[in-house]
Amino acid sequence: MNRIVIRSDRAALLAACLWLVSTAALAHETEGLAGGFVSGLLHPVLGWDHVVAMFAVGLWGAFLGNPAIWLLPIVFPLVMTLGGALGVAGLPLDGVEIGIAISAVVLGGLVMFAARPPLWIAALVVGLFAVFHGHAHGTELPEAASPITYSMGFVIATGLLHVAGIAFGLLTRWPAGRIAVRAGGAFVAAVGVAFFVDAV
Amino acid sequence: MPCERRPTLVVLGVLLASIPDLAAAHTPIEGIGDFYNGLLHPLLVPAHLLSIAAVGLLIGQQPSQSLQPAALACLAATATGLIGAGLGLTIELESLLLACAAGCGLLVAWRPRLPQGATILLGGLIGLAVGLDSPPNLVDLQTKVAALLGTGVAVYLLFLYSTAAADRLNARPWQQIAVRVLGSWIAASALLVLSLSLSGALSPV
Repeated sequence: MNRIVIRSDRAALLAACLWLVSTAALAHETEGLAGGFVSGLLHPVLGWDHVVAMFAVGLWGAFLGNPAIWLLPIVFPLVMTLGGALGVAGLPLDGVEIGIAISAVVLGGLVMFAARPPLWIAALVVGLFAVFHGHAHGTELPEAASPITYSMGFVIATGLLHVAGIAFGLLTRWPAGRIAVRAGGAFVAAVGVAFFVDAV
Repeated sequence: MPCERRPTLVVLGVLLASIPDLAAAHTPIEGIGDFYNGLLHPLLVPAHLLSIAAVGLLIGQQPSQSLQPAALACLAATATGLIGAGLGLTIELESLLLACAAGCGLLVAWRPRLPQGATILLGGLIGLAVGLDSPPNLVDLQTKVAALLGTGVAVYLLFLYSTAAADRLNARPWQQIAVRVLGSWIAASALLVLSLSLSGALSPV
């Protein structure tokens, strides 16, 4: 019975990985639904400031444990919508790039220093930075070949980056892993500082 | 769900993975026949895909006794909607479907316990709305019926698969969390496009 359950989990994971890989294979086409999806999927991935910050959200969630490990990756895309809506509406948000850079610095620093605030504070911090990331994605939404598949793409990419951070953050089960995770937080913070200096 | 149905989920995932970058959502794909064009229609219209998936996941999270009545309601309502669409009843429902996807996606993330009447109503409404929003751009009766039949099969299968997936992914806490995260993704995507529609900057999909 347990063996059957494991196979179904792997089957679902395989299907999800196949889906991700197949859309990447269409990367040279930018027209229509698939083009919009690929553009959206690549948008967070092609910016290292986005990548490290999204990774840090998952990392910090895994570090904080239940329920933050799943609550933060749920809160982030939903609040990101708010920032995205501002970007879509053309409403300016000053210092978006600086805000994104600071998100990496802060989130990485929180992991590095093993900060464990109350859940509502963690959600507030993550939500605040989600607005900046959402605005950056949302400003490009109107020009996308297919806005809805574009939004699906970057929401999924954001979520998968969180999953990557969570997967790495699960190393906290072991003493050496805790050191590795905090070192990962330091790396994220260092990248954030570099982007901050560049943005300023 | 029986073990022998589990590989079907993988097959569906592979099929979704192999959808080529072809025509836009509402234009037929040349050479594959009217039935298969209709079959692909809800897969290639993101508003349909998101709303059916969100409603299916939400119903799948409910107790098992709610699933069958909701599935029957969806079947009947989908048939009704498609017949209406075939008879020329055209209603623009894309924004409503996106709103439904957003709302149901949020509910999936929240994971409330819904009364059975609500699940039946949801199953019926999504089938009716998607059916009505799927008028075939065809004149000949035979081809129109083939396309509508294909669309009906795809809509119902999508609903069943998403419901079954949420029902099946209920055994372990991390599986329940994965479904809730998926709901938040659906809601976020739909809300973004809705905001685009409201801002007046959205061009036809």
